Amino acid sequence: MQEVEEQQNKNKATTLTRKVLRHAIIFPVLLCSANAFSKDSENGFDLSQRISSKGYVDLRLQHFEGNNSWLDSGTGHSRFDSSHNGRPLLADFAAEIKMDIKAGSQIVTQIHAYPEQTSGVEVTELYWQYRPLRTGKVRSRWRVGLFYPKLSIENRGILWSSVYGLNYSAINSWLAEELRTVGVEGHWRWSIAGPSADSRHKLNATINVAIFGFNDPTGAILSWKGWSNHDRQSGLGTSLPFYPLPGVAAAENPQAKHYQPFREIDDRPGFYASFGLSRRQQFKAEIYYYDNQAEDTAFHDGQYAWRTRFIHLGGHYFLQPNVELYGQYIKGDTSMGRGFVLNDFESAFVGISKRIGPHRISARFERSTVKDLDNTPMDNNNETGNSANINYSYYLAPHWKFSAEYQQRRSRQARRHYRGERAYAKEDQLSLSARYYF
Amino acid sequence: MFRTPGLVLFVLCLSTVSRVAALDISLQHKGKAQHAPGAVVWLEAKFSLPDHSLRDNKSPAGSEQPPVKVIEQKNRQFDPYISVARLGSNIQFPNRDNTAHHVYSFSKPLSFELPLYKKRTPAPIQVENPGLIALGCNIHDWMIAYLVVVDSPFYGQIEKDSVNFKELPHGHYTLKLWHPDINNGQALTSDLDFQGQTKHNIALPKEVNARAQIAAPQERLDEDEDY
Repeated sequence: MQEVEEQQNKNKATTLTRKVLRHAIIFPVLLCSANAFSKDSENGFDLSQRISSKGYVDLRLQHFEGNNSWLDSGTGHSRFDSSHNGRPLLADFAAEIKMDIKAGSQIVTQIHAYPEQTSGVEVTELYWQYRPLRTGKVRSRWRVGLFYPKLSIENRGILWSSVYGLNYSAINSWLAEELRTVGVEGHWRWSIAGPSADSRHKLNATINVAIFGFNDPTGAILSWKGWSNHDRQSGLGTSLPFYPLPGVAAAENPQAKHYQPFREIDDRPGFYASFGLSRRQQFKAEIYYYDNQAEDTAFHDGQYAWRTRFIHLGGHYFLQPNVELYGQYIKGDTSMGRGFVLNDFESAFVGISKRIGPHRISARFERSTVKDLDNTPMDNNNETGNSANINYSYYLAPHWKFSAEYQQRRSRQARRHYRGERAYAKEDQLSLSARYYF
Repeated sequence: MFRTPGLVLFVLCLSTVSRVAALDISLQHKGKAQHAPGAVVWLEAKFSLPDHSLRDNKSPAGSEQPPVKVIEQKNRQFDPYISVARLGSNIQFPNRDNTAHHVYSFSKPLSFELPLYKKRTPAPIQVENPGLIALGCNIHDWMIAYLVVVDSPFYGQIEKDSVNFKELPHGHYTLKLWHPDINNGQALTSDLDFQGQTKHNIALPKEVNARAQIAAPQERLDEDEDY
């Protein structure tokens, strides 16, 4: 009896913590903005001066051969499949709105609309950013809200798009699907003094530290769907289709029919930290350690908490001012239900890109694996895959970018057997894109 | 012919009190001309100046308004990179770009921050202390500019390898030179006895490697500058 009461009290406390945690994110944003607004009131507040927006509209034509898309409950790993062949697609309508509260302080909102797919509009980032004035050699930046950790080398384009091509690498496609920070991040950059008074060629050392919540289910899509190459980004409240696996369907608490990666399940915050070195226009190398610290027995509302940890290395190096070598590497593990599902994952790619005037040509090669370490029957998550991507882009100033891209993925996934398909699948995709930037 | 004898007499009087002449100052190292475009050269008189030369020749004669110096934000860059202003000048920072800037300085003579929204020109800032002011933009890291504030009416900037002073009174001066790439960014000081010679060379301790302003990274349609 006493035990039950204790358990109930504990449950109450947990609910309360969850509520507090949910609102904890919003409060700093409101407080900071209110404070910032009041300070600047004497100068007048002209909204039109302070709001800026940019974005793009991506029109696409593509031809795909391979398994049906996972977004339509298929076992293929692309976004568009053969059902989209040969007809014009509105692949992405992306907009970023920035509002300056005062100098160095702004609210950033990023939205992607995917009319071709069911979930429609995704708020992929929504945060308050503050850059205090640099004092001495250190520059800092604070972000509070929903945002990507800035670990991608490839997706440094506007609205977190890839600057090298249409479809992202496997690592970045995964980040787009189910990894986001809902929390607070501090960023510090030191300029390491050179011999001259001029700061232009100084080496920069960078540190990022973040504490976050609302990312407990991350690892689910990677385990049960696997690595992909696409350009669809999930957002706040996103819901992605989950095709039940026989081993999972038999579980006591079945996974809901949709993945909801940005949920708080266990009320335990996660963290990441990074260290990087860079020299502008020359090189960048950065290491991240990420741990969502999820309690892997927690389950709430059809979503499991997955304990996901990884090390990520990213870097680029300019061989010539217009020739860039770049790559990312990730290695980590994820577990759910205290070893009910336990997987190691690993992925790496290298790319090379050359710009000549308005032309850019890029090529990327990658290899990705998921290694199933548990003994759960009918839930074999083993996967190996390779992919190659070649992209040519032409920039027509001041607004257009036209691209042609060929991508081939070859993967072997044991789970395709459960659906009467071959484990091995080859996916070829030829895409043509016209992007209008505004 | 002499319809204004008073003026003629005045001019004659002036020329006897203080004789003025033009002087060309150039930079050399071991007899070789040195190029440091933008380098600031100024002369501080060791004698008391006649009133008329105290007036900045760039401000309208008789005007009570302090002279105005303009440092633009254009193409995500400061323009000019190096400039000079006389003590008491008003400095204006018009933003010509379609993007916001956040200009600041932590330098001793003038410490300030100025949010500059797109295409805006805020109220000017008066410089009340002489010295070097290093300017930066908190949004665009590469944006750097220098402003030298001098307490003297005799100042100029090297165009290629020399600077010309048109009406310099004869006398003893402290000659000062500043450029970020000369003498590790410290002003170089020497004495000058000006008695009407047409040229003067500043002997530099080292050869000059004057670098241009850091170029703004090319603005790319698809790249996130904030990333």
